[in-house]
Amino acid sequence: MSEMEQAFASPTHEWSKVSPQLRVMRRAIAIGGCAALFAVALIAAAASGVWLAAAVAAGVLAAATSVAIGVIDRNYRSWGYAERAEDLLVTHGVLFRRLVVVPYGRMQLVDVTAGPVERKFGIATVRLHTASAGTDARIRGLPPDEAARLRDRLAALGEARSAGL
Amino acid sequence: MLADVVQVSREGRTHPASPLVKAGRVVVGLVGVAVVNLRGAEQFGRWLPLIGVGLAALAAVASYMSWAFTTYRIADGDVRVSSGVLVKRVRRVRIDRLQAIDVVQPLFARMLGLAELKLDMAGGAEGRVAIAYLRLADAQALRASLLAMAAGLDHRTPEAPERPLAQVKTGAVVGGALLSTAALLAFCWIAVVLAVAFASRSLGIVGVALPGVLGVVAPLWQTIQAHANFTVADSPDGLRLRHGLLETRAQTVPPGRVQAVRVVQPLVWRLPGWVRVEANIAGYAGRRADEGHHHNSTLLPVGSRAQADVILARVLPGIDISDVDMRRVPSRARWRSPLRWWTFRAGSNDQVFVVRSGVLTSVRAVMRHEKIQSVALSVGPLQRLLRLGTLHVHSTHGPVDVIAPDRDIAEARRLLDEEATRARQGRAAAAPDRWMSADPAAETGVQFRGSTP
Repeated sequence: MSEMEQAFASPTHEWSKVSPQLRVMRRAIAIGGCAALFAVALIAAAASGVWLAAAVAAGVLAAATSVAIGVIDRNYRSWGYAERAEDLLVTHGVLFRRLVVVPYGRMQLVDVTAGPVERKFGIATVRLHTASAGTDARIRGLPPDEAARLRDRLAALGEARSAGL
Repeated sequence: MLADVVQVSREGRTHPASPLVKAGRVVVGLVGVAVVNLRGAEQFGRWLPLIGVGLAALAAVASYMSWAFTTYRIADGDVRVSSGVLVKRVRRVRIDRLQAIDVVQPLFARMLGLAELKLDMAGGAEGRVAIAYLRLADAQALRASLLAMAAGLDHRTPEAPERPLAQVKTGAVVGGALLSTAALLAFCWIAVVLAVAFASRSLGIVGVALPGVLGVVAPLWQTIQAHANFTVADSPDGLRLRHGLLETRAQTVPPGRVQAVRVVQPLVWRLPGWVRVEANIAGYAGRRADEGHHHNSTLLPVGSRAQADVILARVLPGIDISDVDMRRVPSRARWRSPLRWWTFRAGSNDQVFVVRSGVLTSVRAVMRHEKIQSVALSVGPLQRLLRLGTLHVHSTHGPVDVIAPDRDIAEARRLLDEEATRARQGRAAAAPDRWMSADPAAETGVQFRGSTP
């Protein structure tokens, strides 16, 4: 394990991973977006009669899709969280990696959000707030029941360990 | 003094002159506009006085109504301020969660002997309640009473005695402001404008440049105005700061409410050996929009190192930061921060985490482990190549950022785990919110002890 991997290693055995549905959702968005762009290119080509341009667009878009899928895959694998006795650790990011430790006693608010697309794919985001704006700890792509479990557990632990500012 | 305190009522109204004071600036402005536009208004002819009187009567009724519907009440450990004629609004502050209390006197209120009481809780603008305006003596008595209650004492406890810690001469504040980077820029700007005006032998350029000049001079004036006559005093109910030239402000920061402090020394200040001390105080968060919050967060606007040490010793009681082993970053950090890497230092002992940095303006930030909100480790693409990581120690909003950039990656992770552990131990051993009550049972609720002891 490299030094960098060690620095972002889980303090427990393993990071809890987020739902693969996050990856599925992002792939679908990427492929759908590229397909839409390709459709636009096709229409333009049909209108102007320059079919070579459509072929070039197809090639470029196919390449872009495969790059996007690679990026999505790495980003998906970078997400992880670990619940310890006194604090929660969250890590994510490929190019800009981040590992944040939030003590339960400092949590002021835990919110669970799920947009329409996220709901369609059966995932939700859990976000933790402390009195500091810098905390910015969120876990994306949790299955709804896991998100609810985490929210309830965090709220209960936060209540029990709550400390004054 | 004692008589005043005993008379503190649990319910009350603001002073009847409050709307007048609040409207003061607007009225002056409107009269000014009216005078300037008098010529244009002549077409209204003899209706003019009538319109004026009508508007004044309307304004008077509206302000009387808003005053009549504003009341404050102290009960069940809360301060509640309700206001609003059509839409009723009640704001509530828990006394044991008070982060700071300010008595503010804008110039106009000061001439009438009135003051505004500002109560700050954590949570920025939402957690802030103002009672405006009260007679100065009433405001001070109410403050003393609230502080006594916040400390877990009887609300009739007379105001705690104070001991002066530092006094800053207004000359030093002016000097400090004039020696700042902003002031030097302003002087350069003015010199350029004058040079151009002189060379072109016309004053046209002065008119064009005037807004720019005002733009740089205004913040200087703000700083001088806010920090003039600065005194810092220590008392059992907290640190007391008093300052202001036209608008005076008396701040009380109860013990344990200072989240993090920093000592700042701009380049030019190194010659006279001056420093500035600023702090993160939860209640003062998010004030950028109004009244420049950095003025509130200043514990010492300009002073000697010895004065700064006295104040640091007061806000970090029993903590010696001189023995903290401040460690540098590896020299490969020069590829990421070529100009600053050699100034980065970080270290900690059992009680505090300390960081230091700055080439031109040197900054030393200190934070107690128990005040840490969360900790984070971040690595960017360049840092990954260089095997470096940045440690962020999160405090509440304010001027102090506690960040240790470009540590060796293994060291950064070790620091992250260490700070998380120490923060937990610190929280477990932290002093109670109500600093005078040793009784932990009293932590669950505040009661008025009504009968005479």
